[in-house]
Amino acid sequence: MDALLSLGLGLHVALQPTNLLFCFVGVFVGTLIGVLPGIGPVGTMSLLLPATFHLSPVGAIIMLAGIYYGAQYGGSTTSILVNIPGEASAIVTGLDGYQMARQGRAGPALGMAALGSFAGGTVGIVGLMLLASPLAEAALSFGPPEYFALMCVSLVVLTFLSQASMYKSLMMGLLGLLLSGVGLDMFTSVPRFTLGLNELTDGIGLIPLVMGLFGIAEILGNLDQSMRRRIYETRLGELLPTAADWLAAKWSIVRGTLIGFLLGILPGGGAVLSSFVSYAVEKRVSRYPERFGTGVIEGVAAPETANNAAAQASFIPLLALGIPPNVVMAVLFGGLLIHGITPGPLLIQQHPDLFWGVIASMFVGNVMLLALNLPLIGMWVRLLRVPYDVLFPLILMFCVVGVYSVNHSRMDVYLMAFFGLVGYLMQKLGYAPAPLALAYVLGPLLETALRQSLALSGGSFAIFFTRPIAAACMAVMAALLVVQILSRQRRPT
Amino acid sequence: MEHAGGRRPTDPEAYASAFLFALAAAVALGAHRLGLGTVHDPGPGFMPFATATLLAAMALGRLVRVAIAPPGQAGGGPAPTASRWGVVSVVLATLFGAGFILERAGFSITIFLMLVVLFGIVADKRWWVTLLSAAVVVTAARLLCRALGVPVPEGPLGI
Repeated sequence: MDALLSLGLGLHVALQPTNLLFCFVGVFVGTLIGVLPGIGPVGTMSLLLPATFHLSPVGAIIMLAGIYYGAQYGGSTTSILVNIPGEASAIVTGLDGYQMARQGRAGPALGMAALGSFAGGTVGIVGLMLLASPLAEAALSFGPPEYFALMCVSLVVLTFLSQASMYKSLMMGLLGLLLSGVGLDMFTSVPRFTLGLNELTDGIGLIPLVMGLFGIAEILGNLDQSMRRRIYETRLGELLPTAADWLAAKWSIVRGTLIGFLLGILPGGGAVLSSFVSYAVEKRVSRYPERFGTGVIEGVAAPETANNAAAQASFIPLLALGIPPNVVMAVLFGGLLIHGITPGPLLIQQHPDLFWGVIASMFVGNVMLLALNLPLIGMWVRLLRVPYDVLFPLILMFCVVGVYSVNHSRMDVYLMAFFGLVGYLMQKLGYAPAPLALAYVLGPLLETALRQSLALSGGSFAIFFTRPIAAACMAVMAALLVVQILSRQRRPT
Repeated sequence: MEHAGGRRPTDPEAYASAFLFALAAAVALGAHRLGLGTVHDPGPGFMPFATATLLAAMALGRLVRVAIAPPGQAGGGPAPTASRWGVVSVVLATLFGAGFILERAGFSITIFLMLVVLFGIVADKRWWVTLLSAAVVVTAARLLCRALGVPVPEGPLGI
């Protein structure tokens, strides 16, 4: 009942004309960058962060959140129609979606993707609504040791689930922690690793780091290949799936929603992983697994439902615990801090308008996305005709303007370019940037929690193993590391 | 790095591990100088020292693994390919250059020059297309920044 009353408050906030406008801008931009390969939600959210400085915190977060879940919708359109996934989370959608399109069934594939996304997204929001409050209340009893253990396990789970080698991902996580140490020490105000540069006393900015690692590196990676894209045209046909399609896909939607929701809450889970896992599960439980990849509707429904459910669920750890589970949420975490709001268990009590307003805006945004994605599919596909050699200078220009305008600092532009090179080299060598970025965000929180815990325990590390929640987290972390080591030893060389 | 089958090709993975080891070792040294404090009252260097030591150990482990593993079996993935290092260098130089002149020359001139390089050299557009595109984009960007309230630096010409 409380949740319904709070949702009423949220709807009141979300339906205000300015917030509706920000929601629309968010989902529109999200769909746009979801359609266009080469710039993802992380880069776009970082880019637009300075533009939100003049907005109300609620409007800003509604818009930024809309970009994230909007990108999940947009990514599938080009994946199905032209076999170019706009987003990594739509890669598997193209396996069957594009085959359906080639068989003249692009319409049902797109319709299923949009409606499945809507179903997954909506269930994800309901889950967020029901779970976030109790979780936040439980988290109020957490002390520094619990937070330290939770953040450690978050980082290890992220590296465990990373598509790159876990060993390399752990190294990148440690590098992220080191980078987060640059700047004044928060306890003693001693400058650390600033190389004598005044610009680094506040540390390395999140925006230049993220835009460099994800935005600039992505552009450099694309420029490294041919700038020409082949576009395979297909006929759109009827948009709505048939009754037989619905019958075949109904359990895929249910499973996709569950998998997406559960993996979305996990650190490092998010939309990409959930789409791959749900596709794999569908293939395994199917009575005709050999037909996957030839154009079966379940192969579209499951990943699309899962990535949208995951996108919504990943807000739970951020809003309830103050721990971003993936890089997109890390950028949103930065956005909340810039607006003077600390994400965590107290957020729901202190800023109910923001929490419930953002949740309600997601319902509204999902409806907007349905309206944007079904009738406007032709327009989104035409956007792909814009050549990349026209797009990339514009994206780079916005990156320079965006990163400079955060602090009016040239150093941030240099840092962005530097991390662009670092991210490019990481791509080349198979190092994942996500653990680095997430560890960078969690670093200051982790260090504070560690130092407070040690002060509390009089210097005893036993505090992390004697308190039940902290001990459980440490056990999970140890189990993951052991599993990884064992699986490496069993792997044939 | 001599191998039984002859001299093995230089592995970029080894360079990456060596770089990470050197970086971590330098940070650990710097953190030690900052002061580690005690376990019940950790100093400013405590966390960076612990992190850097762990990273150095892992990077060293990786380096040893790359050195002793037969070629292609170090788990480093496919060898990196970069056919367009020139393009990558020009883009990075343009970004550093833009950062350098942004406050000196102002927003419009900086972005115009940046776009001229990117359209003209990297994208290889015709000179008149390059100049026209750069001028149109700069004007549009200026208007967009004004509309969004994003403050941009103005150079000596006030643009």
